[in-house]
Amino acid sequence: MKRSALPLALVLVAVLALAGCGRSESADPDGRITIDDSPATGEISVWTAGGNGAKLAPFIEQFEADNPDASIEVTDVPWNEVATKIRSALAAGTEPDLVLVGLPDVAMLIATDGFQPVAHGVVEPGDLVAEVQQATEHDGLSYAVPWFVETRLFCYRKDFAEMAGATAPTTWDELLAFSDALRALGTIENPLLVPLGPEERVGEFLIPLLAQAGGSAMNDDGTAFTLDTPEMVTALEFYGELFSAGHASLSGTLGGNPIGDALAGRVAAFYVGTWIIPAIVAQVGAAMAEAAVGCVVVPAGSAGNPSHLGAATWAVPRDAENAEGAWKLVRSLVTLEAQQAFFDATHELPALTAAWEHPPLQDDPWIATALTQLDSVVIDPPVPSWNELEKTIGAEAEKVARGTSTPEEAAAAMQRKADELGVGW
Amino acid sequence: MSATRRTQGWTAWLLALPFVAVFGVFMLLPIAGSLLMSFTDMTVRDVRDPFAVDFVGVDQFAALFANELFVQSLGNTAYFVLAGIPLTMALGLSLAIALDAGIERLRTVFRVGFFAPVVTSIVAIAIVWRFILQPDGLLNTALAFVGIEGPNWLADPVWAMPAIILMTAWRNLGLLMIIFLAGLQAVPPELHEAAAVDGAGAWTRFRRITLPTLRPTLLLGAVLLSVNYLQFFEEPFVMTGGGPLGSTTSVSLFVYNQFGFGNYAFGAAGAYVLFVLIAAAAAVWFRLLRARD
Amino acid sequence: MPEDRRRGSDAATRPARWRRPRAGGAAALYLGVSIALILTLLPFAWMTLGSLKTEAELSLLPPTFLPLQPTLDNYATWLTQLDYPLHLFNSLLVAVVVVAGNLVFCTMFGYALAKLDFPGKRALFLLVLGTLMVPGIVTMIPLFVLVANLGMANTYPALILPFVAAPLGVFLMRQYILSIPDSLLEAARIDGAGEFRILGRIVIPLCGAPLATLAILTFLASWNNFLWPLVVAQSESMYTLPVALALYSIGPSGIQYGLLMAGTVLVLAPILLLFVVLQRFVIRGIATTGIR
Repeated sequence: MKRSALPLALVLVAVLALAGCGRSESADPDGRITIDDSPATGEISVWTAGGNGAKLAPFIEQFEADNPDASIEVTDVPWNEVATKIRSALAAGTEPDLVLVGLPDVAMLIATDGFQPVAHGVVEPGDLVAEVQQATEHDGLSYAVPWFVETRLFCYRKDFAEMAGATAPTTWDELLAFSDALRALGTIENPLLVPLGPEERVGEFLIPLLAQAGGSAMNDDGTAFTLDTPEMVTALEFYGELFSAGHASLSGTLGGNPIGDALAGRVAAFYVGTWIIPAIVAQVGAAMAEAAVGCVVVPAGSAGNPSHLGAATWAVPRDAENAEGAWKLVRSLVTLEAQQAFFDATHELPALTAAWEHPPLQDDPWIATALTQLDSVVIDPPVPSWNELEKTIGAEAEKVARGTSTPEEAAAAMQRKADELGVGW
Repeated sequence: MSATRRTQGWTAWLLALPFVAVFGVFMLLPIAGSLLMSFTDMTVRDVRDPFAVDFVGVDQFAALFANELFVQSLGNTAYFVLAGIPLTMALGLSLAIALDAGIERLRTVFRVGFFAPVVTSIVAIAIVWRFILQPDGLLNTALAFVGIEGPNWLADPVWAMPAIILMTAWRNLGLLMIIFLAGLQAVPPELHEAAAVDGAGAWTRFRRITLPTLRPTLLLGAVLLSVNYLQFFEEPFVMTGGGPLGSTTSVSLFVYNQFGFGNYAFGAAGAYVLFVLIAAAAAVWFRLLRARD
Repeated sequence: MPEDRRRGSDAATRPARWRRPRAGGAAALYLGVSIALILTLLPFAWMTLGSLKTEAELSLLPPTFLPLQPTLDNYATWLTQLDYPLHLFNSLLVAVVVVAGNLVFCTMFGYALAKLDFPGKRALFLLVLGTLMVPGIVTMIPLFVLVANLGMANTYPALILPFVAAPLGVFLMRQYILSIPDSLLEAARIDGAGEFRILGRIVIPLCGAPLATLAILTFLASWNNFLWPLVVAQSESMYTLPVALALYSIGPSGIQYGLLMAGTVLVLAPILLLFVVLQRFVIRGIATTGIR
């Protein structure tokens, strides 16, 4: 008995040890794995959102060519459904290997404890746009890798403006006058395209508006929301006026086609990212685009003209089956060449700051405007409850827009919901 | 029990087993689970370990009725049902009477044509109607022909729900028409002939003879529609997202959104409230329309 | 009773003899109902016309009726880029298995309820019937938790199993089998046949009509099912048709209605065709469930 138990025990220990070493990656105490330079293998399932699957396609092809043993499956999900789908997937254990997450949703995902910190060897955090990189961090660890960043510019139909004798607005008052001039043309009912309602990301418009009025959505150490402030009331008054005076349509932008609407002359101005440029050029050609559309920095409130700063980031679930492959794919997307190539294809701003030296980027007049705007930007509050709070903010702002609530009541209601949800960590 | 009856009993259970097993696991278990869940504080983080949640009594239900949007969704659902059912039934009944009264040729064409919307996917229909209800879509263009300026239907807090009700009535009138047609056959022709001979007009005959005989059919139609309409979901999900101003958020959509937020127990409570409403509606209809005998 | 069945079968076709409207009245009736029919079918026509138009034409004001430059591009996109064949296959596979399962399970259980005696029969039947009133969202959340813990999420079984035992099927089969004369079954029992043989040799062959109705109604319900497939499908490859269509329609920036209309045609056409061919069974089935 005793004599034969020892070898058996040794065998058992060895087997257990080997079983424990079944996974090829081994994480450090923080949970970060390390990726090496060997080619990626196996299947990698990727979720993208908002049509970015198409933009990703050429890079996927390149990656599969460079890593012949890897095969990638891409699923595209509507932006509005991303949060729901990921939460459900995490709950069901069917999470993909890699997910594209909008910056406002990153905090919420970190809080689910379902995502792993960024692996060693993917990218140097200091090489990426600072505010965006910070927003992916919690407790000293980064959980997502920014792929591209975006800011919003004020883009408008130059030809209509000329006909109306209007120049691009630089302040809130000038914006209203601009809209009035365009309406006087008689062909456009609601010249501005502004998001409305809980299902459209109103925060992306209202938070910068709040900053333009001198306010801020959170307190300085990011521990509480400060929504019930005079600055918010100012912002809501302006937001409300945009709709009540007919500058913006009460249909909001849902189901909208900003490019189509702009080219068809149904709207004359909107807040949009630089991605729209190649889209318009593709439809009407470079010369026509140049003549018809102009972009400037957003009109300023009393405290300047900060605009929305967003980003698309890549995150890998903790229980991803092929985390190594996923991180290698991410690494391939944030190299200098890849970032520059991505810009060339889509005119999205690179997350890698070194890529900004890319001549086509520097020489593009429209991008120059974006670079100027990037000096004054504000991000959505990077906290887990933002995802749910933004819906209430959208709903309350809609009430102001439709006249069923006052800015003061709405701000108070927003603050109540914010207090109820808390920050979410 | 005799030997044959005992064998019958065993055989019966054997025959019932496949159904009951699947039904038990995938229907009864979740129904019970939902009820239990609504008394806890379960969220999405508890899914992998569902039994480790805390009991919170009726807190979720209290929170439901304190939630502005939930109460609004109750009102929206009531509006939809109270307006939709009479409309659908009236349309279905009118068509059934018309067909019964004298349409002999092409009857199949009419039956099939009116019933076609019933077999369609609500999702596809909702998308087509969203297309039709655009501010410059088919409906408003047609209204413009007769000089009416139609509103921006789905973006108007007042008109979004009526638009959805109209669409739902359109979709279901065929179903009611068929049910009523079958019921109308049960009306004894002699009664009508006798009444006509006595000088009773068409409307009186309708009220005194047709309607009472149709009672069971009306009951069936009302119950079918109630169960269906009370849980409407696809229409607002696809067409309006629940807006504008929450005017088209149904109880089902509210619960689905809570599920999306990860508030599982809260959503389960809302779902159970809806269940109770459906059972209550059926009970009310039975009381109102039960044949008096 | 057999007479009821006979009446029921052409209930929707025989006109009431006591009402014979005048010629003018008849014409007015036909006209009225025809207009109603056109209005009812108008959305389908509009959808089909829209699917053949280009995006540019769809943004014209006022809207055109017939397409100026008809194009099949929208359909091409669905068939190639948007993976219609895969979603069609998913819907088809799920529907066929659900129908097969229901036909088997509901017939067996329906027979037991109708013709056999066993303890708890009445309670069981009422329980099953009662669940007809349970809204889908009640079961949605716990079903998801259950399926997740069984490791079944985002799989075909998850799409199929919850629907393979449908209360309506039991009701239909039981109702019909009740009307089969007991004497037939007794005779077989006296000859020594077991219940399974009776079921297979006598009952099922007589059940052609309800089985057909059940098959079609179940197929329709499965094909159009939306909420559960929406919740349980995590990857595009598991989307059924309605899910794919809905997510596409509320999806990326910029809705293209031409594309969307083509999508709805592709989703509705198979069902409508099936319905037109089999309408007799569907309509009869609906009509007879009403007459108790």
